[in-house]
Amino acid sequence: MGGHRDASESVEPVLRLEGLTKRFGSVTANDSIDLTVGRQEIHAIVGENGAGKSTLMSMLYGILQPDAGEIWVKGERQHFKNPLDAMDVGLGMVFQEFQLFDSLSVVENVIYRREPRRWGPIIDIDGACAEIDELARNYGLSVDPLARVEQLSVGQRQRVEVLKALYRHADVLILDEPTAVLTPQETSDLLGMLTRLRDGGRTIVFITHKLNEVMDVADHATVLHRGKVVASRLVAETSPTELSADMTGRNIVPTARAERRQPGRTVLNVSELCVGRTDDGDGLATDRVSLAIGAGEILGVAAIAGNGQEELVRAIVGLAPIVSGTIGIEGTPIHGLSTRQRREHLAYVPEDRKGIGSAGSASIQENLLMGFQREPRLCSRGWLNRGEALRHANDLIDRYGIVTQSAAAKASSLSGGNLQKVLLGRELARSLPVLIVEQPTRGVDIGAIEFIHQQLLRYRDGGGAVLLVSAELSELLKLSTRIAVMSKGRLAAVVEPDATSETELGLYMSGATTS
Amino acid sequence: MSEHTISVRTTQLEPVWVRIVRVVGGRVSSAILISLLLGVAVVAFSGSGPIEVFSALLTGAVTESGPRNTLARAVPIGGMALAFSIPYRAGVVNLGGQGQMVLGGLVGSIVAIYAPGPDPLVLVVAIVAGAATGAAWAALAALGQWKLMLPILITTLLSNYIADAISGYLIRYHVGDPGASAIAMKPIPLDRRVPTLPILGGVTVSVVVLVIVVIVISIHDRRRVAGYESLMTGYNPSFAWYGGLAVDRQRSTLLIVGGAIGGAVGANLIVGQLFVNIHGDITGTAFAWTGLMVALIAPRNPIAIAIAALGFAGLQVGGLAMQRETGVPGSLALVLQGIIIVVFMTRLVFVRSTWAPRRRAPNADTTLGTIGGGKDA
Repeated sequence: MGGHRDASESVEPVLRLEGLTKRFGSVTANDSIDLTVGRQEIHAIVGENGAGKSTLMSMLYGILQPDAGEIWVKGERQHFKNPLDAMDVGLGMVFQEFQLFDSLSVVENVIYRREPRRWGPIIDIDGACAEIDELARNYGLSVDPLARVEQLSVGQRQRVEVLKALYRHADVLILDEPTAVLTPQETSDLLGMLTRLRDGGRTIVFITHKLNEVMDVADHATVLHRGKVVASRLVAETSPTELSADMTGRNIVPTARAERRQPGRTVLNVSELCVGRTDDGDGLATDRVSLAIGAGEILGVAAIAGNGQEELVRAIVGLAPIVSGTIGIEGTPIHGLSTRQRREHLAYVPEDRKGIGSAGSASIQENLLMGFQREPRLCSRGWLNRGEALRHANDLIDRYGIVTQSAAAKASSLSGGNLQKVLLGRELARSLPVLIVEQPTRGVDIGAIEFIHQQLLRYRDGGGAVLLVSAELSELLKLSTRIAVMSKGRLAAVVEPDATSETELGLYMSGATTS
Repeated sequence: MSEHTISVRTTQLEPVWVRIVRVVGGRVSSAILISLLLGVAVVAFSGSGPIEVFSALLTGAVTESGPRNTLARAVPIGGMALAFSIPYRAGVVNLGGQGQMVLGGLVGSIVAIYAPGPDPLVLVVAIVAGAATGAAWAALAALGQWKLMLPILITTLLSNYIADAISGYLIRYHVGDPGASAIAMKPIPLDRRVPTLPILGGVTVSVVVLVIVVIVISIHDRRRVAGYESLMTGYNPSFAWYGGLAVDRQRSTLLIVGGAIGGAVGANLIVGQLFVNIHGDITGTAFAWTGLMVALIAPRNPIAIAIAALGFAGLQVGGLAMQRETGVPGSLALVLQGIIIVVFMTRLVFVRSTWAPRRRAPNADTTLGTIGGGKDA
């Protein structure tokens, strides 16, 4: 291990930020941030959603220009105008959404704009492959240089991003939420790789909100809260509880698993459901999946993205056609009904909150009205009762603590957590027997996460049946009565949360079957 | 929620007049100013005196018969703008306005010339028949979209040529006036023309009807459930679909309503303004396309559309007067019209992009994460 080298005064730090400030209108996203990252250290930047982490990284990588403050890299003051400037001094960024050409090979992606030449204009692919192979071997980044990116798993694509940075001789790697898209196994691979990179002489800046990852690999942690640095701690000398308190500005005791109760009669019944793929691929996205969810039950669905859980949900809510099988709610078959008719039986909080779950240019009031506009309370003979519609909106805004200036504000002005409260509030207010919810807390700050969890449990306790799809295994373990694991479109296992672990779930998710 | 205390909410939506003042004061006036400057440059480049040209334009539009002609022209322009904007608000692009007008004008004039009955009733029936024809013509495009997956954008555009051909054929061989020197029908009988109003120097009743239609649409948008639903479809069709709206049916309905307005405008043009249906005249006015441009300025706001239609009508009338008075070609007015549209459209885009970060400020982190390619967590 390279060991902690505390940014001692004698060694010039690799990266030093002084008083970095960025404002957007009246909002200060970053308020006089000081940050020092020493050579060969893994430095975690932690904070809730909206704490300003991404703004900070955008300035560091030249995507945004600071309003005030200085950026020093290896002892030299920098004024990045764009990411190319940042690359030139040895910074490399791995974004959460990969910046890769899917239809090109790994090597073509890695050498893009830095193509090694041979005999003038000829690109030296063999030489590049050899170089990539060597980098990959040194850091345990095994990936076939000639494979096309679209054939790779998410974890492998991320390695390609890392290779891209290394190939450009980046000695400071910045990773934005690198584990958000990975399975538990891939996560531990990545963390191991980060350690090796550090030991090989590189410096890692790594944005996360997962404290266990910070504790596992980071040397140093800087905590942001509402745009300010609230703590900078050596990981060896801190604890998750302390960091968590720093992050939220209050003490949050890690929540225990929710109390479970025996589910009642079956409410949602999915039988032998087959759904075609939405992409061009052959075969089925969802292959003979059968599920039964009882009243007062939360059935969690765990799966790596693209293993059929999206299609399962879309088929149930009527946004995707089914190939065969049946779907019933309280004994009524719904698979032949239109989306409109199905929505009289089920509430749905989609993963894509902006694309499907709301209309950004419409007001919050208009967003909250959807689905209620023809109820007798709000509508008589086709006339909208506008006073009642406003009361309806304000009532939900109050009950769900949606932070906004006005019900007339556009939905696009809401933060991730508040938009999710709009969706959840609207859907739960309809008091329907079934709730389908995808990624309820993705991109939502910690305070709102807890609130959303409570609402889901309350709905369950009221006798609702919930189908919960989430990439956060801890969330599934906490909320679910049972967890169904999907892999390659099939049901790989159904387990009780108390009788399983993240590791076991990860195994099923990656294709192992119940023994 | 600790932040909850800061949520102070206004109890009503922004009043209409506040919005009008804000929009007209900022966006509209600066767009007009920029267009004016560009217009001066173009005029100067064409070798005419800008002051002379603009004063001729203005006086042409507001003096003598100018106001009456402007109002008369604003009816078909505004009407066709509505025919475009009504389906457009739910995301349907109706490029078939011209065909709807031509066929509406054809059927309207057949009814007005040949139908028996009391004259006022025949006049009303003629316009309603024109509307029905335009609606049926648009319905074909809707059917093509939802049954055969033919894009409305293409079918409505191409059906204009078919409509023109049908109209030409029928006028030439079946319903035309054999004695006329052109391919034309008989003139509309005097008692079956749209009556004029004594006020405003003899503008037709159609102006009043159009104003009523604009008011009805405004009320419909704000007060009717169907108006709410069509606006939501326009904002985000996926959201509307997810919310359980029958998006396809709704869009078809709106396209058909747009077609009906187009057909009515066509019929009205013949029985209220041209008084004789000469093949090619309706197409020649290009009102359908001027209306489309007007609608693009404010597609969701019928009142703004009406005002813009008036402005464009004035520009065209002033242009013709300018040509008479100064010898500067009237097509210069069309150039100015084009400049205004371009400036308005770019202004809208420009305003949006410069305001965007500020508007999303509370969520700046997420926004910028997207620029950087990632979502903040």
